Amino acid sequence: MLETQEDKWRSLFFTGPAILLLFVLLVYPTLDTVRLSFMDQLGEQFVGLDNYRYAITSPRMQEAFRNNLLWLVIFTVGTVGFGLIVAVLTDRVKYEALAKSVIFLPMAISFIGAGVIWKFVYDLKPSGTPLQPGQQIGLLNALVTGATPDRSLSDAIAALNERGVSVERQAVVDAIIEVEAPALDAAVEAGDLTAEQAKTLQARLPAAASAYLNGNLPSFREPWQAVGQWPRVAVATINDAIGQLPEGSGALICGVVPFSCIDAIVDAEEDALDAAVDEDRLTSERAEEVEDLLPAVAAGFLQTGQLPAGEGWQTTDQWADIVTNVDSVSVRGLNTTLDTGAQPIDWIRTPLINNFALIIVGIWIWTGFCMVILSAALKNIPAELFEAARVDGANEFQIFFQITIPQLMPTLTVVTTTMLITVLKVFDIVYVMTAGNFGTEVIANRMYQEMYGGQRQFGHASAIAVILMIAIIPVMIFNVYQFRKQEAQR
Amino acid sequence: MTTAATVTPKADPRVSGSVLERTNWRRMFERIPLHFSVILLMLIWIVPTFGLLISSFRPSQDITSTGWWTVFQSPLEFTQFTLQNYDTVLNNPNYDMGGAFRNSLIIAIPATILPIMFAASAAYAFSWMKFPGRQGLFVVLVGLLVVPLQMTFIPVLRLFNNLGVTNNPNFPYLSIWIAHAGYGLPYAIFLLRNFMGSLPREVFESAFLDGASHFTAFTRLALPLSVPALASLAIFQFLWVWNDLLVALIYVGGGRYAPLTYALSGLVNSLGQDWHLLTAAAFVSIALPLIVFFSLQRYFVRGILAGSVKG
Amino acid sequence: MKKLLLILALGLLMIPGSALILAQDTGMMEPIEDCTISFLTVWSGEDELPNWENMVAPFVEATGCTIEVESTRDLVPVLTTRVEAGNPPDIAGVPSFGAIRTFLDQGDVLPLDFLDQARLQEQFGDVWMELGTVDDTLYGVLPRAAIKSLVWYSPPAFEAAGYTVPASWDELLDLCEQIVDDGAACFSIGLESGAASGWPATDWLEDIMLRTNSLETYDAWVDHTVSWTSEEVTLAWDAFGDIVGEPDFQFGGPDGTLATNFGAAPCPLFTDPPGAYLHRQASFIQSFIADCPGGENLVPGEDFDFFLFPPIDDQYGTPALGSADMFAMFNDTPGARALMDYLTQPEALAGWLEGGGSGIATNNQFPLDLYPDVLTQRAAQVLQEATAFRFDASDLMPGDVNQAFWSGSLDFVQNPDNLNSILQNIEDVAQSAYGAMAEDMEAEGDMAATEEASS
Repeated sequence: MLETQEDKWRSLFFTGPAILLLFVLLVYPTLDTVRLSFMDQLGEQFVGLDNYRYAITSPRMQEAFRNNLLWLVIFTVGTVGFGLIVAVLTDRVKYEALAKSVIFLPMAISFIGAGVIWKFVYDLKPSGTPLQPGQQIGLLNALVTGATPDRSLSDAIAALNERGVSVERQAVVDAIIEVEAPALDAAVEAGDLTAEQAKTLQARLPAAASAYLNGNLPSFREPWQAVGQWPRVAVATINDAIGQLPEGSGALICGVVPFSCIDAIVDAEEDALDAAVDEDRLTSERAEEVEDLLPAVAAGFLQTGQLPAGEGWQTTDQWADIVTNVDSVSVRGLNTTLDTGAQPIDWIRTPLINNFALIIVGIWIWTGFCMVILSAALKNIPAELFEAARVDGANEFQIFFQITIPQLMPTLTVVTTTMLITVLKVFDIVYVMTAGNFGTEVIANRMYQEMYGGQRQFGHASAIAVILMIAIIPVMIFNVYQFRKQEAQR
Repeated sequence: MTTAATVTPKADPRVSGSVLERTNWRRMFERIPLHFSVILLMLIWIVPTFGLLISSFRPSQDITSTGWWTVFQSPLEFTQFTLQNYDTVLNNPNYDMGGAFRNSLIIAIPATILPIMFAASAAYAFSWMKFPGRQGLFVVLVGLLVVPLQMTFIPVLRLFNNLGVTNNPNFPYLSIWIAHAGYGLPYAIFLLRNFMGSLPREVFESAFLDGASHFTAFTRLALPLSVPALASLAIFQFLWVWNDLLVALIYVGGGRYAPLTYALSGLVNSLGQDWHLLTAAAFVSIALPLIVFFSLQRYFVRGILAGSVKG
Repeated sequence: MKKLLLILALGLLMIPGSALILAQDTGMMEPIEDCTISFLTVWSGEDELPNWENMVAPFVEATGCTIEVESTRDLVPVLTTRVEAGNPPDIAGVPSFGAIRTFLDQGDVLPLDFLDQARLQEQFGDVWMELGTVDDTLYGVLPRAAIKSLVWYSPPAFEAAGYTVPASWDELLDLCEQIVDDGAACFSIGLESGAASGWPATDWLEDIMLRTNSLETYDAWVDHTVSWTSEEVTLAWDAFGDIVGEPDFQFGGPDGTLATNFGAAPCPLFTDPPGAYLHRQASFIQSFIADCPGGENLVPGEDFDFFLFPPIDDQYGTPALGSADMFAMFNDTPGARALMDYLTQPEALAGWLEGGGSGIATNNQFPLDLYPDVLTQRAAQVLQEATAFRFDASDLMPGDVNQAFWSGSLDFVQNPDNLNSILQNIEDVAQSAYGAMAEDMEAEGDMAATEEASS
């Protein structure tokens, strides 16, 4: 390279605008931030290292440090790893353009969009009860609850039949029809439904009722009129059949619907406890303790016949009788018994899981970026290298690890350092989805909250910002080291 | 003395054999895992966005009560789809979406071109010019990548206010152009420097020997050769500016100059009602970036170098 | 002759009197030249901004001012930045008082001396005036409020199930047991609200605090003279635990409580059969009820109604808890002054309500018949007639304590057994927040003393 005198001044012309912009927009604020990090909240008094002490010791900041570390490892490995894999794989297929566009698409979506998109993946709705199931609108929870559904009324009916209680499935279906059909007619009269609609629904009714017994509530879009009463009506029919049993058949019922029996015991015991406390035969503390133990003890009694020991129990001598005399099941008891399916998972609010959930969103967005850069470098590896290796009989994995990766090393470094810097500054994803709550706090969010959360803790925010910048410096140093190596080679 | 060994090349059935022989079954079979992996990855990546697309065509009551996949239970029942969400978003009485779209363009185009221009010239200088402090300055400029943007708003806005740059009725977008130009520089310089530095030396050396000035070398050699990197950078920067809300809010504010992201965020009221409109809003907002991406994506796919060192 | 003089004298007296009346009615509603007012608010969406426009339409017409509205959910960050950078909006509407307390403390907000203080005192009373006053100067006006101590229910559902409205906390708990026995959940609670998740639970706790402690204790709690780990506060959280510590009492259990958005929470009351029977929420929830499936057909007062949150300890009765929007001024322009004055006029809120907006006027001269339905009228009456009234405590606390309060309540629903550590956590945040404020005040005091000494 020719060094000329004019280079020195020309270079100013070339770099001048950039330097000026960067000074105004980034350097000057950084200097100001460093200054403020040593001042009090309003930037008026010098407070030494107080803000730094706060930043390092405050519990939410410590949580943020831990989380940023988690993000650092998983996000970086994820984005670079997937980016590399996608780059390598799509290089070899004909629909490369389509595949790459699909992977890159999330980078084109604004954060508002990404927030809504992942809401449809992570959302949690209360799961309802087996007899009145709820619907999930989040994909993951639909999979979780759909894969292991609760048991259904059909199961309960079958179990009862096995034990000799003859409940006719058809009778239950008929009962449902009996309550829904008139409701549909009434709706037509009241003008809430057209005759057409009613006719369609009437035709579908037997099938819908049967499906309900199998655990599938009919579609909310269909204007059924009395769906809320189906559980009650179904259970009433079952109770009719149970009523046919001779007296004292409680044990049979408890075998199928144990919670109806547990409830009976609990109710009786609680009433007796209240009476005992009122009559001063028992302290209310002991009564509370007994009440807390009651459900588990009652369940144990049903299974093994064992009665609890200790003071305060009021009705234990009657329990066997209570069980024997149970003669009906309640909606609640049936619900509790059939509730054996998986519960939906709160992906956003459950500690630890939620961090991974957020990191996955981050990987989903940024993999495309890594893929683009790595793919470009990949295509620049001379094809002869690969061909020679293939001719020598190397398999794909060997090629990948012994040729591809070493050749890509410089680019891998660039991409990895970029991702490290991005992840240390991660803010939008956390802010939009949890605002740092539920154990998902990150450094950039803390900085934002301290600065703008209403208390204008400029000192705190500035100290946090400085710490953030210092944390990123090792990455930059590494980058620079690489850069110098390259320079030396030129 | 060497004996010339006559080697009769074996007839390559791939060339001359029957169809059965010509088809490389083994290769096709080997490729099944490849296709499987790629398609699996594509599916995983697209499913969430696909869910949003479906949801944007569903009535609001449906969106909040049943999963979007339930539309496939009766895919031909068209009554379960609606254009209402898009209608509300596009014809919103409170926000001039067309105007906001135009504002986004007015903001994004210079905010993309400016940093790239300044970065390109700076990158050229760092690559092919010699001046004292070159390495140190580069390190500092790129080191500014560590600065979190939120810390810059108050000092910079205060400066702009004092200089009369903001709220200037003659140049309402000046402050945000400058802001984005500055914010986009560190990464742009980083990327372009890496790229330009790895262009073939000989090209430049011969140019200088021929008496070309740096200016000529820059405009006639470096820039044209860097088009792929410039295109990639343009996409990244454009996407970032187009999707940005916070910087716009600070430097432009609401009102008649606000960009599309501002208008779309205003669809949801302060209590969060009507969030279902965001399903359609997200796609309205993504329409232009997609066009930009697809028209420039060959630079990605053809995979021209964007920042690695040649072997 | 004497009669004539009398009439003349009376007539002369009438003139200034009528001028006064006229002045009261029109306030500062005269055309102003070149008037643009910049207004920063969190309001957006399909309803809030049109309601605002309706509300200020008379003002715009009379003064010819243009109001440039900027709306953002990130109001406090944007406002902070603009104030610090020197180009604040003329007027800002802030839902949470505590968030801009710092602005008040630092004098970024302008005093409203130009308003007719006497009229304001008469029409708003001590409560609302105090909330906008710092150091004896009025800085903020609060024209629109919501009353919060309401428990919503469906009278038809109650009747069908044979329930009666509880008159006390104990009766409420009994009712819950009964409801649960009958197979439904007692309360439907929704705490999800993005970055502000947990705020409905803080409302619960504030209502309970008001009913288990004296008003002085409540105020002391807001000021942090009573600590978060004190017995009074712990007892209140325990009472809340009577509800949220029982999974069956909540629709969807604690998971449902945490995951349900506050706006969707009333809906289980109106399904058939109801998933839950009670919902404790402020008066604004009425517009959300209309969004529930089938909600458009529900008639206020008939299909849904409210009762006042029942007393817990009879000696403390049932004070009303409420919240309000506050408007503050940052630039002194004729337009801004006129708008601030307009907002305090008796009928200002009429336009807002006309458009379908919710809310209650804090101005006691607001005609009751302008409210859109029976329920709002009742709520307004409750507000006006409340013997004791307190502002939402979390809105009055400093921003980070508020945040800790929200997060703490979420933690409590998830883990009711961790109450002590949760309260300690909030206490720690409060100590550093109030400690900082105390230091600032001390510093100001020192500076003032030094200035005095040196002058």
